[in-house]
Amino acid sequence: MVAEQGAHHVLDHNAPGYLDEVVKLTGGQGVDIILEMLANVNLQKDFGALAMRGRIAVIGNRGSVEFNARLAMNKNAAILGVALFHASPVQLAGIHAALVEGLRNGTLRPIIHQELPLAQAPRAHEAVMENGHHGKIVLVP
Amino acid sequence: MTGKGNILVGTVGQGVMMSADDGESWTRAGVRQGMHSDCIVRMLRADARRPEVVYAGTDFGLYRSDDGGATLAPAREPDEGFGRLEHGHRPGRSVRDVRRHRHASTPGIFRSTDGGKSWGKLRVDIADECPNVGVPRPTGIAVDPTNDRNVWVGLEVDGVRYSTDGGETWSKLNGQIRNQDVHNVLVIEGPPKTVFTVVNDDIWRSTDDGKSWQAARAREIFPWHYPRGIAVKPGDPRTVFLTLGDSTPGRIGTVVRSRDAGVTWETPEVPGAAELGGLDGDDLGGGAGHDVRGEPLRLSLSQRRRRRLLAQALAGVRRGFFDPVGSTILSKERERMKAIRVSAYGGPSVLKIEEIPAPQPGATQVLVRNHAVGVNPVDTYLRSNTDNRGPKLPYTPGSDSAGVIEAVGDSVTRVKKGDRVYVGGSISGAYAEMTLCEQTQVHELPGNVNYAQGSAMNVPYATAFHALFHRAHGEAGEIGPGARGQRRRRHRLRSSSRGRAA
Repeated sequence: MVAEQGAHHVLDHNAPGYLDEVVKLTGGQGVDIILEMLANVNLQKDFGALAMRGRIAVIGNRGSVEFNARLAMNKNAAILGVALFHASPVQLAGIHAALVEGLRNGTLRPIIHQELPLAQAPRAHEAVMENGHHGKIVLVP
Repeated sequence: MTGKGNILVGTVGQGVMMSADDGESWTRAGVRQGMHSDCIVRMLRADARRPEVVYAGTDFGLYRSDDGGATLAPAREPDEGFGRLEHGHRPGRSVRDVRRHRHASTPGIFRSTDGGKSWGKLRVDIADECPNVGVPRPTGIAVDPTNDRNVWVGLEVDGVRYSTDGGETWSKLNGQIRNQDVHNVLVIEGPPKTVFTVVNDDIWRSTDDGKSWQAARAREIFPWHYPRGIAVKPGDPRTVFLTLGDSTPGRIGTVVRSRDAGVTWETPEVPGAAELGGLDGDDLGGGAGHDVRGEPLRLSLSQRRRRRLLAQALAGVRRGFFDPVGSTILSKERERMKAIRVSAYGGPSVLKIEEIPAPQPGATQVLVRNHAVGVNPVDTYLRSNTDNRGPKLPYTPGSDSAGVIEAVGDSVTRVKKGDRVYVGGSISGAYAEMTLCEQTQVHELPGNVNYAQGSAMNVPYATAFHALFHRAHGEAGEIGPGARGQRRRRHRLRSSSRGRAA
């Protein structure tokens, strides 16, 4: 499914040693950018798969994390907090212009996992926090 | 949207007058369109959920229109004439009614739970006799917009009745407002939620459901001291209009306005409004109007300027109704919608579906009718107030949806009614049948993309784009998650795709 969406390589983050695979795939370099969806679990490990001058953009986090800042020093790496809420109006205009074009030309093809009636919002909130769903959870008014 | 729509005027003895051009021209809806031409129209109300359905309470009985007042036909009713109509909003309980008999008999409060087809009389104690008018008459009825179990009724001259159980049982307001000569009642959403009781020499407000009341002190602050009509501005539940006359039946009057839920009042800059108080019948399309006592209605609208000014005065009360006796301005009831509301932070069970007033767009805003609403993990963090970042309670969750533009504000240029859009950020919350947005928050939904997909665009895709390009400054040729693989939830893909803009 992920490959169909356009990814060049797909790895299972539940598989042991998948980060080593990342290093291997990049010829030992590591990746330049990581979009980190669960920083409290993964931040420390991310540095092992990060390239020199790499950037880790934190877009998801569910708790505290302890990590060794020397890892960041060793690679001139940056950890960047990201909240869409703080995007400027100009940035938002650019984002959505690109997304609309991506939809129009078929590059972006959102996948829906489940549609629920609006009244089942509590169920939708449980579902969105459960593991193992692949795609969007949608409420239908 | 502001200023558009019909103005319906209930006259004393001339049926219903209608203007479709903000008061420039008027026609009478009585002669050929079904209503008895001599009707005394005591009340006009639009159906809360279907604004094209209008009820007119007259001395010839209840009339109903299904086309915004253009044609009217007698509706079935319990018996005799209706005085006041009010709409509740609970499904299956759409119209409440207070009846005022033409002849001296006991007034009553009636309720319909089937959209007006059948009516039942409610148990409420009303005095048999009273000062000034002989037999008390219901003059106002209001349903609390925040809780439609709360219903308020004003009686002239027998004080205020209120029910907190949808009309099953009624209590009398005792003592807090000494003047029993009640002209009207109104409940506004605020904030603060405020109950108004209009009496014949003042207007009282309560922000604690009637436990304590504060008077506006009409004699000190108003040019005239005989208030009657009161209305809240649609889409702006803190702005209230009040009509004032000099006496009954009255020769002169005006409209005053409060923009802070009745704490302070001002006279809007509407020259000509000072002569609101009667309508020159010759300008209303035939026949002089007469008020209850047979005096010609004198609110001169004979000059075009005056009519335009009246239109301006009424423009804010969209699709309002104006009673020429100066007795009643009735704004259109706001459409209702289902929405998920959070009234306390907590687990998923705090998400409750409710019916609330549909928002209405300001000048630069749009209203979107949602066909799909996107659920995001961040919605759950806000719901449980993680890191104290929860919105002010109560609120409607959600920032993502997709649907069709339902209405646009006056200065909106990006989209028009009927356009398919997806929503990225919302003022009123996305978990609802409709959501209010700034025009910059809605984006074209191409025809090859369905609504569910549209509801997935904002938080998932826009966040990834923002992270990748604006924050991490991804360049073509670098290795990381490509923009083509953004759609993943809690899959930390380390796929090495070329960073490529969509």
